[in-house]
Amino acid sequence: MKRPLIFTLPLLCFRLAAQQPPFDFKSLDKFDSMTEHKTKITLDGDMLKLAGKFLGSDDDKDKDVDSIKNLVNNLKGIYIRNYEFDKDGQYTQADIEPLRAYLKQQQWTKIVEQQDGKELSEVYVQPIANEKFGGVAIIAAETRELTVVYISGAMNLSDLEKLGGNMGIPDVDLSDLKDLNNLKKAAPKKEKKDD
Amino acid sequence: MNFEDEIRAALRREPPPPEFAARVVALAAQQKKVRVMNAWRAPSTWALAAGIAVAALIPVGVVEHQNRERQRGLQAKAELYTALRITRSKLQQTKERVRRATTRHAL
Repeated sequence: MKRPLIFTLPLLCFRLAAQQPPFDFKSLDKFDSMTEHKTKITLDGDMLKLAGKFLGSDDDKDKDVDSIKNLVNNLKGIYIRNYEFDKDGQYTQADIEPLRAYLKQQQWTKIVEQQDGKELSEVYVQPIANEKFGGVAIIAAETRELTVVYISGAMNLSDLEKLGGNMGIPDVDLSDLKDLNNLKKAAPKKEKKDD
Repeated sequence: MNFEDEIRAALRREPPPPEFAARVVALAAQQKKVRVMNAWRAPSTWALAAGIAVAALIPVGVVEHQNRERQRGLQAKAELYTALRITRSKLQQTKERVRRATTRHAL
């Protein structure tokens, strides 16, 4: 059965948009040659699904592995770039600017900005309905270290809190970072249903 | 010549022509070879052999695929844990910085 182009084209565009990477992390690839101490993790939807299948297998004896599974099931992608440099001044704020611009363009909300000298921490969330996030992004810059975390997918901070102490993940009390009032203000008025 | 003599003449033993035995043996050997060659050339034989080979390879392929998927899965899981660890570590760091700054302002 042939579908008219008017129906097929928007569907195709939607699919292409859904497959697009969230941010072009290749802009940070220039640091690859500047340090040997780096961690680059790219887990797209398919890889997360695959990882999710292996959670709870083998040596995972943790009782809260279900919490991690639930969190991972809702995620669309995890992208980590961590660079540790041997000397100062290997990167500039301009290197992070494209990511900031992208987050601003996508209407992410900066919930934390803390600068202490050359040390900088920024936490962004993408507000969606029902006090949930569509993603979390962290920019952590130190004199000799730069870390960018970009997690896409429905979650809330309590999801991350649940992970405390599991699977070798450090225990963190994230309650101080909760600012749901800000999120409510920033959340779009039009409510969307989660996928 | 009476009837008995005719029968006797007809049934009398005669020696085989020269090289008869050699010709018989040669013919028999040739026919045997042809029969053996035909069996190997038959499509059904090759089909059967191919079937056996495929049947033997399928489980090997399946196991190999499962092993690869398992390796990929375990690698993805390890990366997931590392990613979550880094995320939480950076959130912890951020929180500490906020706390330090808040304390400084309070003083």
